[in-house]
Amino acid sequence: MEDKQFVELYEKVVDEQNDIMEKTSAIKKQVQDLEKQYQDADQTKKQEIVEKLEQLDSVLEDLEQRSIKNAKRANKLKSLK
Amino acid sequence: MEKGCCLKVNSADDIFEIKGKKLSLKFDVRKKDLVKVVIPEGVTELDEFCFYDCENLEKIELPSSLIRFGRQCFRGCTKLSEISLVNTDGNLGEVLPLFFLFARKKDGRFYLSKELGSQLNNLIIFDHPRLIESYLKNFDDFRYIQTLQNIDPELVKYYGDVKKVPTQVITNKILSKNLKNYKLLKKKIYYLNDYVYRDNFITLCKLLGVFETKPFVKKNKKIDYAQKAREFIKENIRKYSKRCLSNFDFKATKGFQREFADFLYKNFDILKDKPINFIKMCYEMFEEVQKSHTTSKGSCRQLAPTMDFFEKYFDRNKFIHVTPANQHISDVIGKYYSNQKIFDRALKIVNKNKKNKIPKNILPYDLKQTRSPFPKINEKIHQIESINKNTLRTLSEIADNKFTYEFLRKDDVLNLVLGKLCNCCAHLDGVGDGIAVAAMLNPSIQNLVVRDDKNEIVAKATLYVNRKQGYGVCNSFQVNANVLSQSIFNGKAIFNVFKQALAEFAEQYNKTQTDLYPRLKIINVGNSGFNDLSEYVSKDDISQKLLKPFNFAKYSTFVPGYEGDADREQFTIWREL
Repeated sequence: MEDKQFVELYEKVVDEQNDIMEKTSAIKKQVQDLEKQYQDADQTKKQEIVEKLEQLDSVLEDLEQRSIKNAKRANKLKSLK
Repeated sequence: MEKGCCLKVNSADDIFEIKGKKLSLKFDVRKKDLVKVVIPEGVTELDEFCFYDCENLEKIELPSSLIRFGRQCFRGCTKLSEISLVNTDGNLGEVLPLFFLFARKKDGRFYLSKELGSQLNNLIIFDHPRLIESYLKNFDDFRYIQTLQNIDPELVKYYGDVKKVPTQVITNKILSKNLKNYKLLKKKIYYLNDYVYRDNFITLCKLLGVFETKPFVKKNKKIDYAQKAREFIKENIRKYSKRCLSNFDFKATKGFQREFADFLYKNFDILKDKPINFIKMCYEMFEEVQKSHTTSKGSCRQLAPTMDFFEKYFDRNKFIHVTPANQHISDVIGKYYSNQKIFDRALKIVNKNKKNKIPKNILPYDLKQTRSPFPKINEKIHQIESINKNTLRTLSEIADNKFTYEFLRKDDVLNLVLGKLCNCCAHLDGVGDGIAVAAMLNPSIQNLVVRDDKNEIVAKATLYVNRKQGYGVCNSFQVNANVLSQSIFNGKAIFNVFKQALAEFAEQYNKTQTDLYPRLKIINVGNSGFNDLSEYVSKDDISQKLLKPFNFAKYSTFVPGYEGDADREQFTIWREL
């Protein structure tokens, strides 16, 4: 594999990793906010929060899969070097 | 003139003199000789002390024209037993209806008997409060009436003037038991007449039970409020400041004001030796609690929640308030409050910490683990982060990261020659000598360098921190050209080291910050210009999307010797999450 091609692949893995981290951080922050709200919320509000969390959970599911794939790519690159 | 004869006024002009329509005895009349007198028609007023000390006067006939009695005009007329009204069908004037109340009607005439005092007492008057209001206000000689019925003239006058006094109070035979207290209160209150309203005074009397036929009964224990009030007024009211009185709502019959009144009266023995300010302090303490701990029915708040709050008031976080004054107040309140145990505990804490020496924690902030209500989702986040950390480590290994960072000390002369090492102008004989000097002199500017595996400086950047506004700007990333050409990964690797260095710097900076300055929240880096790492900066990950383009010029403070790239667009290289 040529250097240039290798670097491109490398950059892709880095970009993907950054993207996952960014989105994970954003969700983490949302979850923290929801945790704070949950403590003082009434029953209906709590229900709303739980529904939001379920949505976030499905996004996290996707991110987890992407993380695993990206980790595999990184390992493959390491073996190619 | 024979002693005991009936003396007709109109036939003895030398005895009486009439000025205008006011009648008085002549100077030389022997008062003891008067037994019966007839006041001529046309006289409207009897002068002051007119029949004063006419001790043998038994009967008097009044004309229908008479409307006013002079002050004490019948004083000392101990034998006066009959007052006859000449013409009961005519206009008897404003004052005569009063005599209808006092006198008995017989043969078309009204008589005032000797025994009338005991018969009338106060009941006749006070059962007709409207009459007394309308008639007594023009009647001066209350002292005479007093001799008949033992009514405090001031009291009568007072009620005559105050229309708001409820009938119920009047009919309660108020004079029977508490007159002394009333008089005493009135006497004391009158010293403060300028700023104590009469309504307040009446309410105070009522509040203190002066008008009650039975003393207040609370918790099976009789409390003589009138007695307490007497003591309180006697000892304290002169000391009591004007402001304190005006703030106090005497009308309150429940809630905070009443509680405070109870507190004062019940603690009279404790309070009486205290300085004036102490009562005021107590009041303010109570008031503070009331304001900060009031229920939806604030006015109905009772003592228990107040005291609950006081318990919190003395918790660990409030030790800063421990002073001899509020320690003392807690002592007093503790004695007052029925739940003695709570306040014993509060006092114990207060006493223990009265020197206000609180041991300092290792960390200047609270550190405790909170239990998340959503453990599963947090676990998933943690898992993703963990995977990505491993990926990052793998990527770092691929890039062969051999570089380390260092913030150059200010006394390091390398600050002055960095440009030589990193192919830029930041050296003493270069255009960028300002940066070189600033990094050694300005406390908010420091050079950050990257060393290779041989410990040689291969890259530099200059960091400026705005302490007051809590941000940093890192500019002029410069890298030795030889290093960049050695490997395609070196540029990225060096940039990552810079990132790592700035993240570590921010963390350490925030740990050591005091409350004087805000935490460091963001560090930006200039994109364009002379940055060798511009390529990486512009492609940098998370943060650039958040802030691009962001101009820091309006947030920047001019620093002599260093202006940075404030007027150019910035990218975030680190930010606090």
